[in-house]
Amino acid sequence: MRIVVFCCENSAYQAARQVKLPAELDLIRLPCGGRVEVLHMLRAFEEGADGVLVLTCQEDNCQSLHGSARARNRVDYAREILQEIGMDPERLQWHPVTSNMGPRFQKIVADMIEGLKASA
Amino acid sequence: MKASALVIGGGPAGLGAALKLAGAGIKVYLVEKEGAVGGWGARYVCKATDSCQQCSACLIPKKIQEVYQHPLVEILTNTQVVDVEGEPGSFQVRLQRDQTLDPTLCNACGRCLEACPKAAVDLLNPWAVSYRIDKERCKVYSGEDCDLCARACPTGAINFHRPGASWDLSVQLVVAAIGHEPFDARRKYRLGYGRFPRVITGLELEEALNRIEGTDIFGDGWRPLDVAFIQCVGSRDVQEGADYCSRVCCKYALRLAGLLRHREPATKATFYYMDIQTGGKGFPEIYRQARDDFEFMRGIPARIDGGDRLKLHFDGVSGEGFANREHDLVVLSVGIAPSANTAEMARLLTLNRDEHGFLKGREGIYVAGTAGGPRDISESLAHGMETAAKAIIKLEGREG
Amino acid sequence: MARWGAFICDGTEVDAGSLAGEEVVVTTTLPPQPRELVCKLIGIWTRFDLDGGILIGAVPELVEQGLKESFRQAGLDPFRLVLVDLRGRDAVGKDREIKAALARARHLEPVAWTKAKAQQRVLIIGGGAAGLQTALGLRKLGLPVVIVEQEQNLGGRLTKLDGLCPWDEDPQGWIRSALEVLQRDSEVEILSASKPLALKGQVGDFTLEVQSPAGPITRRGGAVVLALGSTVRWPQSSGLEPGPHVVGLTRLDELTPIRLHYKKVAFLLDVDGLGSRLGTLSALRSALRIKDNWGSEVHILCRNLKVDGKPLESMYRKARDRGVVFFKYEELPRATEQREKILLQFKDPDLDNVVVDEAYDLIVLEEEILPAGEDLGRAWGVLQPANVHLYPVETNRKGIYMVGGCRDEMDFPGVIQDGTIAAGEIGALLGQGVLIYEEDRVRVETEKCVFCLTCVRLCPHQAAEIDLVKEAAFINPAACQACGMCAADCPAQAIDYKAYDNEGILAQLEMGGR
Repeated sequence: MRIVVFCCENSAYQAARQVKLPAELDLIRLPCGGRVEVLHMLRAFEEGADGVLVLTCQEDNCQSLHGSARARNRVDYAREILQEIGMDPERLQWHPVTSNMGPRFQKIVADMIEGLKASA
Repeated sequence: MKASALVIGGGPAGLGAALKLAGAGIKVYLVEKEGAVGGWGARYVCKATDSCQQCSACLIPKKIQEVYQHPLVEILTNTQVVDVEGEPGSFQVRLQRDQTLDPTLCNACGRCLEACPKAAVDLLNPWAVSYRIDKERCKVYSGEDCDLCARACPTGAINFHRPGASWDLSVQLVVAAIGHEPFDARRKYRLGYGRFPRVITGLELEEALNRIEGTDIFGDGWRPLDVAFIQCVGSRDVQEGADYCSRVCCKYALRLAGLLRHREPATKATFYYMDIQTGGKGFPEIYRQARDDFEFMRGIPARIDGGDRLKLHFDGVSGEGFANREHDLVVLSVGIAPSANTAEMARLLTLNRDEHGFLKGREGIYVAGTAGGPRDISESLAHGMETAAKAIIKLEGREG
Repeated sequence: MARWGAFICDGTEVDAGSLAGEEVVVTTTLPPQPRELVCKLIGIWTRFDLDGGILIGAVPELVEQGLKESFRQAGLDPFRLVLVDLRGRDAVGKDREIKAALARARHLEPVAWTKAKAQQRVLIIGGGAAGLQTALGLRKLGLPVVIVEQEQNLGGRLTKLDGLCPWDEDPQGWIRSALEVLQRDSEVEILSASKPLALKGQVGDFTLEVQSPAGPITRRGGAVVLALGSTVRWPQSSGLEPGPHVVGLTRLDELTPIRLHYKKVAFLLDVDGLGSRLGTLSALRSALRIKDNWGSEVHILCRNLKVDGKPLESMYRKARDRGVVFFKYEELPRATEQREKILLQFKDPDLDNVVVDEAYDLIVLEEEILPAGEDLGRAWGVLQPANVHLYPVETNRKGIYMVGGCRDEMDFPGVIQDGTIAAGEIGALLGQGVLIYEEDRVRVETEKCVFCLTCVRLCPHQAAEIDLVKEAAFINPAACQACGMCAADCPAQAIDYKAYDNEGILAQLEMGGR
């Protein structure tokens, strides 16, 4: 199994570094949630990802003000595309994870792995 | 030669001051008595629900990284100031470091952790770069013979026989950011803290929620659904010599209740209070939301007893709604008290204390953060910044 | 063929041998301690004339900045150095991190640094206490200032009321001495009765247009401070109107000379449920004064008394000891006018919710405090939302700061703190007279740009502009704060963010897939 996690380096990336990470995880570090594109998420699936997570700041806690909100919108859009091509949109998720929330990072990843295993 | 400064304490205020001093080209020695910087702020949980609750706990990792990255900041952990002499513009400072665990040798491989039978070696917070030995748990410090961790260490970083190091520094200015102590809830015997396991402090709730996801705060599968928050424990209390508002407790209590409810929507919370403090940018909205979600009762219980269900008793109030209040978890919103070593630091630095025991600065020695009075994380950071700016203006200042 | 180095920090348990390949020409183990690590790394980098490398460690971010600075000083460009953090990873995970880092490093390009001359003058909009304190601080740091004030006189709201500061300070006195210092300083230009119009430029070089009594003028500066102060609004929800028996808290001083005999006075605070520290401070001060000077009976009614500031709790105790009566209400008191008096009817939960009826000769109502000058901020694209990263004085735009009452409700010490912090920040920013930034962090391919203005609308830092000569968007490198939003959202894919370009991101995805 392969999970690709796009992380804002101000928040989720910091959180990821405080906890044990499952082997199947690929962390892609971004300067802000606002940098992630629909293309990146879809390409991740093309490259064999079973699940893709976009983890950014809380929407009202983004250092670039609306970067997180943009990321969330793009994830919503990409989920619609997944739906249209017959893929389970739950394989792509957006969550806010602040820099000191290691346990939340862990739980989001664990939940996704569990969800993927259940639907497999 | 460029100026240099000693910053005592690596909490939010110390971090803020160190960064700004270094930013102005001043060499900074950041002294921290614990094994890692971050202070209390590094132990707090992010209280975001669906929206950010502006507790600022997320700023700490960033600030820690920034001080580590700054070429002009030298971080000295496990180190204490033992003597200060001199006058403004030229202080001689003697430092002492416990070198049982040498952070310059530790590469955080974790073997000591595996070897310790008492789990006394750990990382103080997730941003610690080296391990530390918790002296309260370690067998060696209670007189027993044990060197399992030292033998497991591949780099020789742990050595119980290594003597402490002591050396002198010359600095132009000192920032005392020695922080605070949470009020000791045991002093309020009648509120049952220490006697009933389900009476806990706000700080304990913070730390529990920081360790886990969900609301299994004791790790035994039990989840609190009906929580009482008792405000002003050790604040606005003349008997305790604390006739001041601690400024942070209303905020953290409302946010923690919000977080409990976010994690477990069935959670109910009741606040027993005198006056809710709603100041601070963005906080009025948080308070409005809390008014919709939670119950607010004016009055502080005089006594708490009971077992699984805790009974709250009120003195001299006969009003409806106050008879037989019961809850399954009581959280005491403990206030901010002067740090335990305040008297010692006041003596070392020749500083006065205010009527509540907090430090007051003098020329060349600045007091930042909760060392000088109650402040929350962002206010402490800002106060550290202000202190640094004041010191820089003084140091480089041209008389206008 | 590029020459690569793999540098492995001691303790990470990565097998150096497994990394050696056609490109990786040197692998070595480094000590984890920053200083030794940096020296050794630079030595090897130079000796093997490397094109790039990866530094594998437990917490490499902690040395990143110092490392890059040391490289710069040694005349090397570490652009192709990628740091790999292995915390929390098992053997498989470590392998994935390292491969992804190599993939990313291959796509990195050199960084071009620009050293631009910066204006040292600081443009301060607003001559109230916050603006004056900023000016005083900046002057001591040696930076010249321009103060633009709409009113004829400086000093702002402080000159009109004295309830804003703790018991033992004299704000009018403070204003007077601040003005004395600033007015005889030749590096301070005070433009009073002047209205700020437009602001152009970016950090290091702003141009401000001002409508002065002498006509329109412009001033240049390296940073801008908005110290626009606050205003008050009458709380309509109170159901009360100003009149002979009802007065706003901030206008109470105007009553003093009238010397009417108000025998019984009520302060009604917290009308909208969100009363301020400032209001409580002002009410406590005034309550004591009215008691002393007029001999009146004084009541203070509120939902929550604000005591979370230094003198507040002790002032509250003092007022109570001196006979000021405090009531709490949950529902706003009902007010009715009754023969030269106002009758207030309310329930106090501390008094078992019995209905209290009190008739007052004077009701002093706490007004709502609102930030002033929001229109100006909006017009200039300057925002300071309740976002912890901007606390206390930063805004979304680099080089523009917000201080005092226009950013939050605050008392006099708070205003002083803001001004001092802003002066310190600007001193660090402009003190050397130069700004150093990445020249081409974000690039626009002019031929692809279709002039749609998406980036201009989106950029949270107001760094995206239009270059009319090239007929394309231009990302101002001085103002850019490196979020990459423009690159992600450009519909024509004309914008790329060098350090996080599409190719690099996609290469990381491909690498992990194999």
